[in-house]
Amino acid sequence: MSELVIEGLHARVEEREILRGLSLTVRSGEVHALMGPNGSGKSTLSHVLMGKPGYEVTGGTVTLDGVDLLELTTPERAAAGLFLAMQYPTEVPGVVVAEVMEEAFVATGRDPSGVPALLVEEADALGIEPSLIERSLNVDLSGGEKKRSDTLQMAVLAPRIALLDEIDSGLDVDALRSVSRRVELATSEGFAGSEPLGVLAITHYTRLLEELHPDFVHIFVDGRIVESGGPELADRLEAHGYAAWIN
Amino acid sequence: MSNELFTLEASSDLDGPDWLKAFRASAAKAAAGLSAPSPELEGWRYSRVEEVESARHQPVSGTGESGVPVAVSRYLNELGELAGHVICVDGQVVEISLGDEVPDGVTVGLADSAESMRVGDAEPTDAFAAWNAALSTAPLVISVPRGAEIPAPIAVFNHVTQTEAAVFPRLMVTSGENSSAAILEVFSSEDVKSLVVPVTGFAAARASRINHTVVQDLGPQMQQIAFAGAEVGQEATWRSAIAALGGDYVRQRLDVRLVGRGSTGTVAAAYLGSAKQMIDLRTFQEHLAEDTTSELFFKGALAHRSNSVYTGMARIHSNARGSSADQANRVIKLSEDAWAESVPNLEIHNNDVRCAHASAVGPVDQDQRFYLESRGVPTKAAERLIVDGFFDDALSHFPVAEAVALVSGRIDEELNREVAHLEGHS
Repeated sequence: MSELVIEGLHARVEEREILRGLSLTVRSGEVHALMGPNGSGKSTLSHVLMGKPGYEVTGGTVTLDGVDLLELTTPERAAAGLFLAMQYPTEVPGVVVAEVMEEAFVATGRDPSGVPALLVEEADALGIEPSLIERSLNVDLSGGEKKRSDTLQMAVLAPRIALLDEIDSGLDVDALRSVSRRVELATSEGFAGSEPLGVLAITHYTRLLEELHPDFVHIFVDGRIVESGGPELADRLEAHGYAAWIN
Repeated sequence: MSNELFTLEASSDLDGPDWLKAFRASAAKAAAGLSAPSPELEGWRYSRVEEVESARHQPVSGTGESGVPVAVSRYLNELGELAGHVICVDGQVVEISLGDEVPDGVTVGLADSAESMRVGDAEPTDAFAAWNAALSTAPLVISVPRGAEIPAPIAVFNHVTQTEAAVFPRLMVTSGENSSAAILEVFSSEDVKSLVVPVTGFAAARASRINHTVVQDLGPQMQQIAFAGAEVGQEATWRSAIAALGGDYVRQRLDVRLVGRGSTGTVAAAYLGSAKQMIDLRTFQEHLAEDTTSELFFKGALAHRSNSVYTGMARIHSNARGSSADQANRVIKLSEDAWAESVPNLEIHNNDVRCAHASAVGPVDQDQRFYLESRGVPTKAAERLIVDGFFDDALSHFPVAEAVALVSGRIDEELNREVAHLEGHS
């Protein structure tokens, strides 16, 4: 059983405080949806958790199974079992997904020889064209293809906790469904015998929640969680919008 | 200080057939009348040309030995199947070989007349190139007749073994109508301190297709001032690429003149600087007819205190309606002490054209690195993947496939040597 524990997290970007005391715990097999209006700092949270340069943590703690994540570099956080599917996956010309997965395997002492077969298998499950995995990472891909590619990488890397940052943006219905199916399967069965995946899905819209059924919904406004509940909270949000939570 | 780079005597001292002696003597007179380039001149700004002490370099003609240097044998092994090759050592031909599959009428050999020495209207105008005509000891000609298609590349090797020598390789390539050929030039040296001044000219007749790649793999003390130019006829295509890997101060000028309607000229480059090296690249894309297309795709990486200069001019002349020109030069600085100058220029004298240019100089992209790191790739491995990918992207534009593995291998070796340096540079 894995556990990502965020307590009283404060962070700022260029002197501006974006996260103001956020607390949240995500365990194996749980799906959490963090929902907030545009500009509420949702992506800042995912970047801070993964250790992107340019963000300064000014208070609070983040641990994964007791390990202080804030003390680790980004690759070390990934090695500890954290994965981030980015809102805007970066184009990396000339670099193909297999090389990246193999380097990541080597860094964590896993045998990289199985990576190509694993990629083919997972690509098939996600409805990804086999030719696509031979192409430069995210270069000339549609929004949907980029999100499928990030999901493919998640499936190969087999993390314990996955942060899905606006994974529904730029996705058509079919892509949203296949990505959601893959994530759901991982939250129930884990990856190849490992413990079930814990998910923190960051999103603006309730559309994702119809496909990726969350156990917990959190309303995120102005740098902190203002209300938490079950899926019924998403229904209230759908009916009334964020206005009820914004002062 | 004299503004004369070389002397008339240096030219008249060289051996050769009478017609060549006469040609060189007249070229030497012309060259002696040109002033030596300096960084004050537009085409030589930011360059280190003032460090080229031509007086210290003795024009040479061969070594007196006829063997194929080990370094060249190694290239031959790495390159695989070739249609033919020419090996020159210190400005003297030591071997010419042409395979059976080469079509009749294709000639590869020494120039045999003053007329065959001409590089066409792409004739270079600077003093070094002018001295090439005055001091060339083994001018080569490759001529591909109308309709002939050569199935594999013809490689020309120029290897330098002597120190304080000046070598003036010269190659003229003509392709007849509807013919096709691939020409590979490899410049290499022992670890000596010499100067190479190559001139390579192409004349592509109607609907012919020439692919060309230069692999510059000189020793670390070498200086090079090179010129390559092409004149591309109607519906013809000239695709060229430069891999600039070795040397100390190495300059390459590339001129493509699109003189025939519907002609195409593309140039790619992959360059990698280390130590105190300077890579100096100058390009001209001249659109002189309707519906012409040019594309320039350069990528470089600079380690240590190395630097690079790129200045490029894409010029659409008033009669070049319907033409399209692209220019892109991107440089990754692997070290804070490296610097790069990148100046693309467009000059457009017709409204019905499409032009684009791009230029970027900076360290390894932070977002790309974070993306790979977030997958669990350690920082150094992530940077290496990004730089390898950056060059793979450039090499995908190289037109002579046989050269790509060779260049890619050299870049790998060089980057492996940089790893120790990168460790200290996070």
